[in-house]
Amino acid sequence: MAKYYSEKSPTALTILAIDKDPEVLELIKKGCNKYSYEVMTFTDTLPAVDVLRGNRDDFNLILMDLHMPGMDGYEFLRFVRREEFFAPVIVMSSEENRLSAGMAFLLGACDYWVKPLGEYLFQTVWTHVYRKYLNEKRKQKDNEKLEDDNQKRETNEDAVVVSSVGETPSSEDGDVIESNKSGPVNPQLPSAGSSRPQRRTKTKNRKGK
Amino acid sequence: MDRNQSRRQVAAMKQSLFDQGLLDEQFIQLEELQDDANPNFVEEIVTLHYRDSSRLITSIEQALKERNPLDFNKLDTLMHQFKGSSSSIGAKKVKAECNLFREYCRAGSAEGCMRSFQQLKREYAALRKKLEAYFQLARQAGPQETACRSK
Repeated sequence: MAKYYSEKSPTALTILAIDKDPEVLELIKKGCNKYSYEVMTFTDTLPAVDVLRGNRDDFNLILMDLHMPGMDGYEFLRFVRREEFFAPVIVMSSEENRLSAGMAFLLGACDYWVKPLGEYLFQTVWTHVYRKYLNEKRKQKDNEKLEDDNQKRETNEDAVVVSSVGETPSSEDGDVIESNKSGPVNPQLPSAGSSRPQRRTKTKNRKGK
Repeated sequence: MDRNQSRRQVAAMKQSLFDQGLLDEQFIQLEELQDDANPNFVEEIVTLHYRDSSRLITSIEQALKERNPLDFNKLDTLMHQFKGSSSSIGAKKVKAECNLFREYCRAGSAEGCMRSFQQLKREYAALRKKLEAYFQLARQAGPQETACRSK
């Protein structure tokens, strides 16, 4: 989980950027250079997909144009979610469209940028990685705590069963106790791959949030 | 009701919406984005659209009332947003009406705008009703998805 976040250098990012417009990519490179992020740019989605698949742990943030030909931003979001890449995805669009943003967020995007992009966006873009990292960490702790609680409860139940039965428990009772230890009892726990950001921000180049 | 029969009805209803020219390819794109992680995606997006667009309709109505003269730029901007939202769900006929409205804006025809807007509202309401019926039927036929509705 911590592969996409480095506690030693919390603002060190390696960004993957996909946009059909080379000018947008130039602007992204400029912004990244200013804040010492590494960046790899693509004007086509499929080559970017190949690179991502071959280098899963190398990128900790993805910038994606919503309206790419071929595999567009929405399909890309689905691909990222399905193949459980940890890198948060920020989508970009030249139009401010509430519905597009809604679609992107429902598919897992963590932010929605309207072009033309401002350089200031890159100053705080690391916060998306940090936020996801903190959420994952908390979820992991919660899962561990839940497992601990379940273990403790089952231990107590064992004690109760043994004492109420009196003699050594029959094999059926033993089986029942054993099967409860197989996994988390609560089926509602979300898995790490399907997390959605707690906070949604819409960033325009006129006002920040 | 037999599950397969329900599903056939849903498919038939959907096909009819396409045959009537009410929906286009974009609706199919939405369906293709729906999966286990987003089992109600299409309905969620359509719901978002109607929330979003009803606000725009109110704004356009307001703007049409502010005559002497009509602010065609404002109307065009609002309609542009409305068209974008309608396009996103594949509302083919509504989108065509949007284009017509914008042409009247550019021609500076108040009469044209008013007439076009009335027609647009009719198409909009008609599609909304049909989509509501469609999703209700789809939910009842409920195939692979769980019935959990998002807020």
